[in-house]
Amino acid sequence: MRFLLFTLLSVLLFAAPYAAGATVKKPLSEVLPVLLAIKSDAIEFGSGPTDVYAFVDPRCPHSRDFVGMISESDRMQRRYHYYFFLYAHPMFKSGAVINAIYNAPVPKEAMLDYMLGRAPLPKLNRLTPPAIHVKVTRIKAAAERIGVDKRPYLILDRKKQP
Amino acid sequence: MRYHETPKVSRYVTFVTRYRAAVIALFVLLALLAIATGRFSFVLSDERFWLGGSQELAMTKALGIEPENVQHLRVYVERFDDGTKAKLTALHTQLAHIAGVRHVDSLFSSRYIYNDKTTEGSSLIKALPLSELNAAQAYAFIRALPDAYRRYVTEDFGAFDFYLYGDERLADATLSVPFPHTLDATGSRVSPRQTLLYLGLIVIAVILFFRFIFHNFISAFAALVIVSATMLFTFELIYAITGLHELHLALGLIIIAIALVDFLYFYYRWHVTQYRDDAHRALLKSLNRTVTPALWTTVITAVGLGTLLFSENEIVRMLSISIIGASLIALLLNTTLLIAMLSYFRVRHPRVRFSRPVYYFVSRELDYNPKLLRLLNLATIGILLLGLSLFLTRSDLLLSPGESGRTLVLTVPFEEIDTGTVARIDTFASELTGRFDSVKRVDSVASLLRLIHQAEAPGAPMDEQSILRALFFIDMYDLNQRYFNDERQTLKLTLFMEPGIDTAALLTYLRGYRDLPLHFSDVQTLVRSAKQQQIVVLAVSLFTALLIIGLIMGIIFGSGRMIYIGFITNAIPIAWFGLAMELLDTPVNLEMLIAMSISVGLGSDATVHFAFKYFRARFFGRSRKHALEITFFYGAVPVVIGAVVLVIFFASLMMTPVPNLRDIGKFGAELITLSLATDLLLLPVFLLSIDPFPKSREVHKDYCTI
Repeated sequence: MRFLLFTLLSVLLFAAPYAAGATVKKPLSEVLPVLLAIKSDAIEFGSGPTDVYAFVDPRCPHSRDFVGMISESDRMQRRYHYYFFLYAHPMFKSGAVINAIYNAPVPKEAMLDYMLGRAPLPKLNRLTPPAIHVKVTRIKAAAERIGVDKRPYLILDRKKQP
Repeated sequence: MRYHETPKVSRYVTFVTRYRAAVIALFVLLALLAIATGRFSFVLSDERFWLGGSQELAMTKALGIEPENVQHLRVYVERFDDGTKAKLTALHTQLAHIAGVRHVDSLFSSRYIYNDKTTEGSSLIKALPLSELNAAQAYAFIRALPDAYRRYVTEDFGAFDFYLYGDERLADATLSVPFPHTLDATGSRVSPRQTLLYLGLIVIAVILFFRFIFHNFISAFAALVIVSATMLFTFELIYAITGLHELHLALGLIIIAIALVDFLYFYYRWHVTQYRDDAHRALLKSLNRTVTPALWTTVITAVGLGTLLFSENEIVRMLSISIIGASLIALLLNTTLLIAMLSYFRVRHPRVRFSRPVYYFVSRELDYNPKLLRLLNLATIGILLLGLSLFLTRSDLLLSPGESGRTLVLTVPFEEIDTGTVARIDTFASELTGRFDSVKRVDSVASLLRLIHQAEAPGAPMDEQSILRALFFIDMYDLNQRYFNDERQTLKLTLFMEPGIDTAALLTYLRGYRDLPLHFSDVQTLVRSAKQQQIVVLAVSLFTALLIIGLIMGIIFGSGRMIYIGFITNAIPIAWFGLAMELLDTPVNLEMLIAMSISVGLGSDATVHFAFKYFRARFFGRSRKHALEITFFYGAVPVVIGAVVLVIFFASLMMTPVPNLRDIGKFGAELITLSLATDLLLLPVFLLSIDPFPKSREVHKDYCTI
């Protein structure tokens, strides 16, 4: 009984921040170098002075809502510069979709077409080019270091980095 | 001209009576010209006047903010169901689309901010308009967060509040609200129908009263002509000087008071002189016995209030122009038009039955108690000193700028919305709500950021990143309109308050707050703040006017002690009235100061006329008793008649639906009564107490020719 109580308490303590919906966040000074390292892997969008780093899953309904709202709003594109990182959530099993988007001739268009339901994805290659694998792995590693726990996951940086 | 000199007016009166038709025609022509060229109207709203020289308004405008009028609409519903909700939502839309309305704040413009978690690992902050929820959902949601929505709906869901922010306040008649409701008054203009009805009643009352006193109609007719003409020409004068064709109604009331009392001195003398003399001689006496004190009162008014002509504030300038202008014009009309008009008539019943009260007052006051008089003087001086010390130490709180509405809007310039800004706003909000019970809630970007953050990460502290994310969602859902303007870099803080609370302490606190650069940005608060600062100017001016009146009286009557009499007679009603207000914990407001100005005007007129008659009678050898009888008969009776008419007139203003007019009416009636009591009970005693004439000069005369 005592063991059971101890186990329950441990689980509660461990799960408490997640249950409350809060994520243990790292300060921007720690997160920003990680993001800058993968900046070239991002799908860019918008031209505003504030950078928005967004981890999205193309099959996640809220990521789709989010991208939809941004793409339909000129104002949001004027005010923010988006860096979309496609990062699969295990629940949505979207690895193949992400590969296909990154493999498309214009990944931004492919992402918007797919996420907004405008057009189907281009046919997937049986073999994903290694470069894309590397890119997806880099994003995954960065996301894990940052602690990305949901989609869409947003990090904002008010000042444009050089 | 001194009190013992009699101006030679015989040739002038003969000239005016000879060309009386031409004189009347000339004034009729001038009046027609004034009516034809001027587009005059009365306004009750004092916004423009007060904001004329407001530095706070200039500072708010420098931030690119055009101050808005905030109006509160409360709608009462029997029950809150889907049908009612649909009607209320439609009402919100209707209000928001009215021309001049910038935005409407209500439950139906509010958003239900929540974290939408449809599946594990996927969530997004959503801001769903509350109008999209059905009645049951909205009810449940508001019940869960009552504090955030208390300003929009009462606890029992029986009343819904709409806050209209716009260029102008809307008249109730322009809205079609399908529920019983209350709406903040526009207070901008008096309806012509109401004005005509009110004026009609006043005219009838004046005719009946004058008919009762003077047994004729010419007195009322002449009074109406002189008062209306004074009003019209003063309007024209104000228009010529300031270019404004709108006059605040309170100024109109002051003009009426000045013109009526001035008229009564001239008319009354003409009327009663016909008891012994013919109509022409009565005209002569009316002019040569009254014109000197009337001229002095005009000089006193012009000198006493002349300094206000250079005030930066429009309403203070307008006040002094109106009073000085009305005094001059009334004097001009009484010495020209009135003479010309009265020359057509003669009085059949010249007797005015006031002899019994006159003798009563004279006999009682002749044997006054000097100790009591000294005590009263000391008490009044004590009250004045107390008032002065209170004024010097806490003038901001002593003088009320008016009662609060339900909202007060502040603008704060900012560089960045970050943790520092949010913390400063939070500190301000908690200090303010802690210090002032009347402030129920401070709505700001900080409260919205917290709402979003709590939806996203309940319980977690708000850091820079969560603020940035919340700001992002504010942008995404276009929620910023009510909270900040990014282009102008200004934040909007809305204070929701208990209505009807005196705002003096709150405005003083807000003006003195240093941790945030606060700027008033709603018209009502700007007006209250300007009033609070300008009331001080007005109060100082009023006090200075009392001193100047005393000084001039001293010069005119060649007596140092007359300086004190001139001062104390006017100060007594104000001091005792002020003491009563302080004991009743009623702060001094603009309406009170206007009533005080009227009281000072009447008091100074009475002092001059009384002193003129008393000293003149004594100079020509009348005994103290006889001189006092003359003073009462020729000086006090017109004062009593004028004061009674004015008290009735002001008291009737208490029945109007406009709050500030009701206040002017109430305070005006009270102060005129006090002023009349001082004139009848104390002024003659003061004159007796400083009488410089020895008994050896007295010559027995059994009738009044003074």
